[in-house]
Order: sequence, then structure tokens, then C-alpha cells
Amino acid sequence: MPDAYSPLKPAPQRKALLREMWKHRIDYLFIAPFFIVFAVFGIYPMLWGLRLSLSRWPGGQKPMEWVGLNNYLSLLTNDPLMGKAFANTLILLAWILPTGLAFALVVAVILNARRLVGRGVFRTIYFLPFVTSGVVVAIVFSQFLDKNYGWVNLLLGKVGIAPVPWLTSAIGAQISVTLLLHWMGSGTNILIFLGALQAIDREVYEAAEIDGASNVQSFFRITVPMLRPVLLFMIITATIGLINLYVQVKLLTGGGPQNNTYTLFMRMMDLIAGNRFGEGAALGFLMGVIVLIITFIQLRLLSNWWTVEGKLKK
Amino acid sequence: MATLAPAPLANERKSRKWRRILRDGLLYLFLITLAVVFMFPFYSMLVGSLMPKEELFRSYPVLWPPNGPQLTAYKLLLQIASPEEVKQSTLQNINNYNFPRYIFNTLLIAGVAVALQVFLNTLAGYTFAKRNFPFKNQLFSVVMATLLLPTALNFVPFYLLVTVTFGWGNTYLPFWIPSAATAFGIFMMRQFIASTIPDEIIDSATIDGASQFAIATRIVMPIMAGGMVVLGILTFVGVYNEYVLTNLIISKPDLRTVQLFLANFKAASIRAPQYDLLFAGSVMATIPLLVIFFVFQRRLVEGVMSGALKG
Repeated sequence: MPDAYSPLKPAPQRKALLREMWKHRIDYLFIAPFFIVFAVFGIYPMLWGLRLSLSRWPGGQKPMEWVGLNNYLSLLTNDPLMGKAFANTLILLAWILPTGLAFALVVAVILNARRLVGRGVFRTIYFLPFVTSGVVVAIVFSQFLDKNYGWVNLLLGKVGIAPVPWLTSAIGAQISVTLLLHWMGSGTNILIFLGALQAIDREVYEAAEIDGASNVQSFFRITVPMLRPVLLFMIITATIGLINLYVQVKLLTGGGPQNNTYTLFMRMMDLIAGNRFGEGAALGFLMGVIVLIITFIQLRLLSNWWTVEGKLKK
Repeated sequence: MATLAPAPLANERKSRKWRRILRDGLLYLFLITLAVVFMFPFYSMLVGSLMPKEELFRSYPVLWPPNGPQLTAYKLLLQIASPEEVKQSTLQNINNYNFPRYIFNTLLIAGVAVALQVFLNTLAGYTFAKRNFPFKNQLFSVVMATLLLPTALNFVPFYLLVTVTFGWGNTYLPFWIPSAATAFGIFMMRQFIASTIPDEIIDSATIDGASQFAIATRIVMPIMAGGMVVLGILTFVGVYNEYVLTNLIISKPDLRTVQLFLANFKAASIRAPQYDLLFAGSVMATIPLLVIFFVFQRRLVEGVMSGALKG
């Protein structure tokens, strides 16, 4: 009976509860490290950060000066870089989510084919970029995408396309960042999709085939709905990842050209570098709220889309 | 009619066979092209590291160094280059860069972090998977909820707490203590343990009078070695490749990590990137991870597929 314990119980039972807890002290000891670390390095800075976000504090011995909501207001209304960073995050999200998920899903479905030779080799190779660091990938890709000396423009030149300024034009830089993140992350997504696909019972497809469903129909009516939890997980992870995106972009485009790839986390690092800790703390909370809102919208859109699909089916 | 039937059927079977071969061919072509795309950056990094900078940026990239591979960049970084080679390198202060030391630092940070996290997360994962105690479900919900908090949320106060309040600037403690036990690791180990270890083993050990600690370390951990390896590798890769926190915590040159060195080096030379040295450094930085990856690739791939990364 895992749920037999409740904090709201009459006095004699509370005594019994305490005795029970004492009996399990070793269990609490085993899980204690996480809660201690989370209290000290998670909750405490969060609460202190709330106060910091309402203050002006350049660090050091100087006193904290209470400024109310000014930090939030100046970030939201008086900081052009902030709006740019927020817009860029949404643009990158719009680039990356649909293309990344569709690509990973297609590859996973192909790798899941019944008679495929070399499945193990392919999935290992696709997962290889997992070991690379953002720093190393940025270094390699900055040579890849170089306008004059890069591989991409060399190949495009072979089919008669003029050199594309990948890193020095607004859209080019955004596509470059998208490509880099796809290269780094697709392998992991493919593996997660593949794991989820293999968990789907083959008999479901066989039954659908007997009922006369085409391959395309079973893909949209069986595969995609069955992958719903995995899809949700990936979308939320990708959103949080984009909010924390920093070093790849910093080293690939430096946030440019004209701040067109400037990210929210870059804003935060710039505020830290400028000793503007109050505004930095406020930005942290704003980013937390942004993650919440985007996740919420995505959940609503997705569940709507699924119910519509479900209705169409009938 | 019955006698006519076999002929068109055979024809149809033949064309279906050809269609299948064509479809399979396109499929494998796609998979192989993709494999090349995923591997090529590694190769290009290697080729770049074997060429002098002038050759790298003279024209379009090449598949193999035109004047044969040279190890100068590696020698310069490992500080075993001849005085002649040092003089020829465009970099005057190459002796200020102690690359072997950076590799050692990075391995030290990642090694200790892995030991701590794997041990403590397995203990907690076992407790949540197999033990029953008051408020267990509520406490586990707290663990899971923290997975949804983005790093950015308390990044500034966390940074100030670690550097100002605790004075851990220019130490490795910020990479070890705050992440000694993680929600991700606890969740992963709990899933692994719940699905592999039968309750009977633990029950019988308890009846035999084994202590909780003995059960966790002598029974659970040996059985869970595979899962612990997966968690260990995921942790190792993450800490080894960390940059943002390192950039804020470490300023003493001797304490630098590989990633910090490479990033500073790249940023410092925006106008004329020392790509030969950058590539050689990137290759050497990636080799330890590639070795681990290939040694444990089967276990790692299966771990990720079975949902190790699903928070």
C-alpha cells in the first residue's frame, strides 16, 4: 500500500507515523543527498534570486538597492536586445521543432523496417555526434559553412549555385544554427523514436492491414498517436534546450549578423558580464515563465490536434 | 481461364520484385548518405588538423592534405614541437598553452562527478524503486518536478552563491557538489532497477539480516552495473563537454578545461582563426569520448532507446 500514508491524521496516528518514519531513517538517508543539494543550490538561490531580481546590485560589498519591478519592466519594455533574443528563440523553435522531429521520425521508421541489414551500424553512426561538445561542433561547422572556403558552398558550387553567405546573412545564420543543432541532436531523437516504435506491437499493424489500411494510413492513425508521449517529451526538452542555447551560437555566429541569432541565454551572460545581477536574476524568472507558456501552448495545440484527428477517424 | 492465369501473375510478381529492389536500393542510399553526413564532420576535423593553416584557407577544402599529413599542430599543442616549428608557427605565445594539463583537468572534473553521481543516484534510485516509506510518492514527485526547471531560472543567483558566498571560484567544487545527486539520474536508475531486480532477491537478503547499505552496494549495484555504466557515460559526456559554467568559474590558466581553452582560442582569433591548432585540439578533446562511446556503444544505444534520456 504505497499510498497509505497521509500527512493529515489525528494525533495518535501521527505518533505512529513518526515512529514509522524513524524506522525508515536509512531510506531517508539514501535519498537525502538530492534534497540537500536541491535545497542549497536550487531553492535557496531561487528565493534569494527573487529578491535580487527586485533590486539593483552591482556585486561586491555594495548594498542592494530596492527597485521594485523596474528590472522586469526595463527588460520587457526598454531593452531592444531582449525583444530580438525572444523573437530569435521563437524563430529557431519554429525552424527546429517541425524539421527535427519529422526528420528523426522518418529515419526511425526506416530503421524500424523488418528486414533491414545493418540497423545496428546505422543507429550507432547517427548517434555518434552525441559525444561532441558545443565548442567543437561550432569550430567544425564554422569551417563547413564558411562562405569562401567551406564544404557546403563547395558542394553547392558543383551544382551551379552561387556561394551562400551562411554565417553573415540573417536567414543563413539561423539556418546554420538549425543545421548544427540537427547534426548534434538528431541521433538521440532517432534512438528515442526507434525505442518507442519497437515498443508498438506489430499485431496492431497487421490488424490494420487486414482491415485494409494503407501504409500511410497506419502511419498517421497508429504510429503517430502511439508516439504521443515521446513527442511531448521531445518538444518540451527541445524548448528547454533552446532557452538554454548559448555556446554553439556564441562561437558560430557570435549572435550576429545584426543580432539575428542572439539568444536569451546570451543576454543573460552579457548581463552577468556587465555586473547587472538584478536584471540577470529577473531575466532568469522571465525565461522560466517563457518556458512554461511555450510548453503550455504546445500541449494545448497538440492535444487539440489529436482530438481533431481522433474525430476525423470516426 | 484457369490455364491463362499463371502468366500475368508471374509477370506481376516479377515487376513487384523489381519495384522492391528499387525501393530498397533508394532506402539504403538514403541511409548511407545520412551516415556520411553524420560522420563527415569528424573526418573533416581530422584532415584539417593535419594541414598547416595556410593550406586550409587557400582554397576550397580538400579530402586529403595535398602535401601529405603533418603533425605540427599536435606537436605544438602537446609542447613537443622543435624550436624550428615553434618559430614557424604564427602563434608567438604557444608555450602559454598547456594542452595536456587541460585534458587532465577535464578528465579529473568529469571523473569525480561521475563517481559521485553514479553512486548517490543509484542509492536513491534503489530506494525509490524498491523501498516503501512514508511520503515516498510525494518526495518522488518533487524529484520529477525539478526536471522541468530550466537552468536559466536561477542561474544568476546560483552563480553568485557558488562564487561569492561559498568562494568556490577557480575550484572544481561547483562541478561536483551541486550536481552530486540529480533528478535525471535518480529517475533513470529507478526505472532500470524497478524493471530488472525482482523483489524476492531483496526480500530474502533482508530476511538474512543484510543491512540496507549492504543490499544496495553488494546486491543491487553489481546487478545494475550495466545501467550504472549508461548513467556514467551520459554524465561523463555532459560534464566533459560543459562550457557555460566553466567559463564563469575558472579564470586561472592552469585550471582551464579543454572546452574552455578551445572556446577562448576560437573567440580570441576571430579574424585569423588558428584552424590547424583548433582542429588538432578538437580531435584530441574528442578522442577520449569516442573511445568510451565505441567501447560501450551497444549498451549506450540500448540504454537511450529504452528511455534512459526520457525524463
